[in-house]
Amino acid sequence: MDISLFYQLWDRLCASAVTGCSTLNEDFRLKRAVEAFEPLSKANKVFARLYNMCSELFTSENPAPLLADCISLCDALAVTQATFKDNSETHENKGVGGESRNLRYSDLKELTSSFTSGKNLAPDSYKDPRVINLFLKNIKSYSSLSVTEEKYIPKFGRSIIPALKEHLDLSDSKERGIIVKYIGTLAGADENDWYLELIADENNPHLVRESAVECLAYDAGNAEKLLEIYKTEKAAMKDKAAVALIKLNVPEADFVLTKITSGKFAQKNVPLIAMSRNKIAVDYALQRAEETKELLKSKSYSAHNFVDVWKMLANKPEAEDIILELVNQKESNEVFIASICEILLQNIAKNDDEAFRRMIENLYSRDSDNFTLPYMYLIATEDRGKSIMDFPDIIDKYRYNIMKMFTSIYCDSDGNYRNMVAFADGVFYDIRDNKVEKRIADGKIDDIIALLTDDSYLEKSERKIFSKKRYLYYRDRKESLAEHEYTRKCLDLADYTLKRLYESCSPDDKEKIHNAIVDFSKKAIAKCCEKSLLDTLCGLDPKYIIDNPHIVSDVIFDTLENTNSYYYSYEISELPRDLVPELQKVLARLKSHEANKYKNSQVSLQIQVLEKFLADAI
Amino acid sequence: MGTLKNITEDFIVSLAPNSTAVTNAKKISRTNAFRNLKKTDDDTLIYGECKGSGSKPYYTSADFMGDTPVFRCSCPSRQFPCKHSLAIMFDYITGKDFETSEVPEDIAQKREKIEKKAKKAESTDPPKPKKVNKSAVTKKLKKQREGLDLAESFVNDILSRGVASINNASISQYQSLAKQLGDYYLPEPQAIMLEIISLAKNISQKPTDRDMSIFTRLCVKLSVSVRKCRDYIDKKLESGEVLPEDSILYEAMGNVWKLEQLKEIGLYKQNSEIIQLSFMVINDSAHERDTDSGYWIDLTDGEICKTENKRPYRAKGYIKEEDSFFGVYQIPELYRYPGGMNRRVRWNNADVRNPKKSDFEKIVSFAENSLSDAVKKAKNELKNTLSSPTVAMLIRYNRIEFAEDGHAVLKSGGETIALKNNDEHNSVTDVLKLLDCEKYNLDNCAVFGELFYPLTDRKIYICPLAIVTPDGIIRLC
Repeated sequence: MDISLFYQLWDRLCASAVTGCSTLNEDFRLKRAVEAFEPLSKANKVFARLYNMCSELFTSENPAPLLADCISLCDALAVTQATFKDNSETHENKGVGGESRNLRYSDLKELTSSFTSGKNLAPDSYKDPRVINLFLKNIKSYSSLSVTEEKYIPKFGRSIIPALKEHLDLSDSKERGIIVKYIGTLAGADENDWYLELIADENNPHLVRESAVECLAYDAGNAEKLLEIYKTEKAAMKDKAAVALIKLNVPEADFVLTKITSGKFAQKNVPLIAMSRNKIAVDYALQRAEETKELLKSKSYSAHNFVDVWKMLANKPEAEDIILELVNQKESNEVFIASICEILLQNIAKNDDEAFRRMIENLYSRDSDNFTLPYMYLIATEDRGKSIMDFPDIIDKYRYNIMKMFTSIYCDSDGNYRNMVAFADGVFYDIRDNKVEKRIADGKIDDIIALLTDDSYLEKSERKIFSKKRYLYYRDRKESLAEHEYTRKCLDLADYTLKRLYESCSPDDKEKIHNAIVDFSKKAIAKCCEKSLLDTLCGLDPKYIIDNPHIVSDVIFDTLENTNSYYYSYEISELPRDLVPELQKVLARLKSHEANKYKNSQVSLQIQVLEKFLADAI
Repeated sequence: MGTLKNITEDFIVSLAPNSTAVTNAKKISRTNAFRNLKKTDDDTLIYGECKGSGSKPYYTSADFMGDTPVFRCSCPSRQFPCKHSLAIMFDYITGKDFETSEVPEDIAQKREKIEKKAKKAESTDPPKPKKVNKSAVTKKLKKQREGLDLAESFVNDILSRGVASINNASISQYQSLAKQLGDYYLPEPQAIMLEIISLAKNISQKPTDRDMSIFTRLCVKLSVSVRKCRDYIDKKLESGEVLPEDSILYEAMGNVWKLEQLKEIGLYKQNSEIIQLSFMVINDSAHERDTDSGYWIDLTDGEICKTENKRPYRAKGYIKEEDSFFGVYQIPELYRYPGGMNRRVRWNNADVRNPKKSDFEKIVSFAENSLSDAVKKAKNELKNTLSSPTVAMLIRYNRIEFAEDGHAVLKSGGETIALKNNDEHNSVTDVLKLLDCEKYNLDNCAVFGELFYPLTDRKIYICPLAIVTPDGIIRLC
């Protein structure tokens, strides 16, 4: 039975509700629909009833409730007439490895904000398909931050690739190429055919095609194709092809390098020359380095101006000798040396070859003072037959710098430890955009934990001026940092890094890391009343603090003594309630003459915090 | 109530008045605030001393002797159970040391009192049922009857003028009318009126078909509701049977059922065991509240029911928030609200146990075998104007596959139906697609979902909320 006339009548009735039934008598469309419905009304009783009710609309004095009843009856009829069969052609779905976890609704609600906040989740959570789904939605949202997402991609693993591909909307001209990049990160050359498909279709969004060109760098077999793109395309596509060719270090890259090392192009293409191992790039870099040696001697030129030269040299094992010469040239300075070391260090994550690693080892063996950081990073993260803990003197000298290299350690969902290194082109950089991830070799995490939990430096009592040879990232360089201040910075950094590591570590390592942190914190707090250690112990071993309540008062008074800010006090909300008597004693001391030697504002603030805590403890 | 051995984290969370109490309790447990933790030999009582401010600790106990646990604490908190009571249970389930000891004298005395009271209650005549003031009820019904006329004039006015002709002046008139309805014990029709007014205010100069459709349906719902409630009241006043009965119209007017009322009219089941199939929190701005909504299945008879914990915005922080629950509730008396399918349920007391594999196998066995039959049952429910726009059911299937455009299709014994997201659950089918089909053999299982009928499509779909396999429940939201 063709019931399209019923649907037409239904539509007209709804339209009458919109326009108002006070004008029903003039609604000829409704009248026509009712008349046309009449034959159907003979089909069954309900249709007949509907027809009668609709006919009455035109004569009723108060049609409004009747109109509502007509629509209500139509809605009911529509439901009963509804079909459900789906004749679509279908296929199997393999899924993307999502495994159900007993995550509560409240956990999932938090996750919608976690991805943008960069918060670490339990490794197991990433398998849940609801979490995967939230992440995929996040990529598409306006609040998406690629630097945050990139951190999460390895946690999901390769199984997320089909889902990422599905989320790529090739019909949207504004589609970001970032999904292609993520797939490249996960799959490398395995998706080569897909990258080529994306490039081949010129209707695809340009950012997608550009990212696909970048991903061709995973397979040396793409060299010819890349050269063709370089020769025929313009702007970003051309640049991406140049980058890919240079990364591949293939003979086809000669064409590109010859062009970019000539005349005015070289200045604009320093990053390309920097990343290349091609002879043309090497020769060019060495030539520039020789020129630099002479220019440095000129007093009008400062070492600061030669960042580009460092970039170009840092990736080239052939430049070992000239690097040493420049570093030891009397006109060079700390900033200069810091730049080259930074670039060397970052390049460890971006270079897989043995020659580069040998260059770092050689530089260190020839000039250990200046090349400590890259060497330490190398042996800490890779199996080079040495352990970072074999160099206690070096660690002692450059402790803060060395520890700072590992603040971004985390464990991915496959149980591998990784470290994010800020990739910088030199001294001035924006680390938000440039981060490189390095996998830490199996077993090496224990060395890093040993480094972070080493407490030997806490014994030192001599106070010396911060050595000029203790170069740091430029932003953190301090000319005259007293030893005790330096010690605290190191403690704070160790505590921060250990906590992050503990949050994301694999379940198998949880207990080991927990014990390491607790042992370290206990030893450290006995020598140095650092507040971050107290926070750590309260979280991981509160019984220790309860058994040693004097630690709390030591930390509070230490904070008052050593904090420069006028408006800072030790936040005590996480302290165990057992410490209430100790805190009452502290409060009494703060209100006595003993507190006169501290800043008034700090004492007042600390008293406020204590009183609130004690009141809430009820 | 069994012994302490029945306690799980889910059980403790279910007792807590809100999630903050749970957080505070976990903190107390984590910071080892309790001392002298003790338990009795028969595992029915745990107690200890919790450090507070001042020199004296709080004495806290959790007594599982009777049918319901009794929590006692000397702290001055008015929350019940307090965070200390929850904390001592967390201490127990996290394996802290509880020395075996005797029942303290004060608790023994209290237990004795309770036992005496219980014995007395058994030996005396059953308590007389509370007398209901029929004339008060009649008076209320008459007042509601008057209010319904106001509501009717509201909706008739809108339908006469047309929804498109509502302007600011008429909106303020309607708002004042809706406010008046508060005097007539009709909060539910009032809420619908306010929703209509809010929609009218927010509809842009160029409203979409969807906006107009929603608006029209609300007016129709109010009109039908008014008429049915009016007939309901007239019938009651005429017959003199003024007390509430098994009818959805009691709530449709905005009345609130008490559990003893439900028991009186026989709307309860005994000895049910329910397990949750899905959970979410729905923000209902029209009623200015959040609703913690869970679907459950009764393992004794396969009935699918619903819990709705309504938390008005203004009472935020005072009403316990609920969350997903993974255990099995064993309920001596499960009260059921009037309605058709997916009745709302509530209970006072319950034990908790962990689910077993046999529970999941049982759930699958309760599923509808025929898609046509399931759709027919759903249609019977969906066609009623005053019923929910969705019907939750458990349906067996052979396979779930995906079409070219990405939507999922359920195949069951030669029949097919599309699986689609609905307004409340807008990405469940995306989640379904991400499941590892190698790990989970999802063939020949049961899908739990809401059958719904979107007006534009003229077809019935299922919005899948969970897949039930013989090994467990895979939640999609």
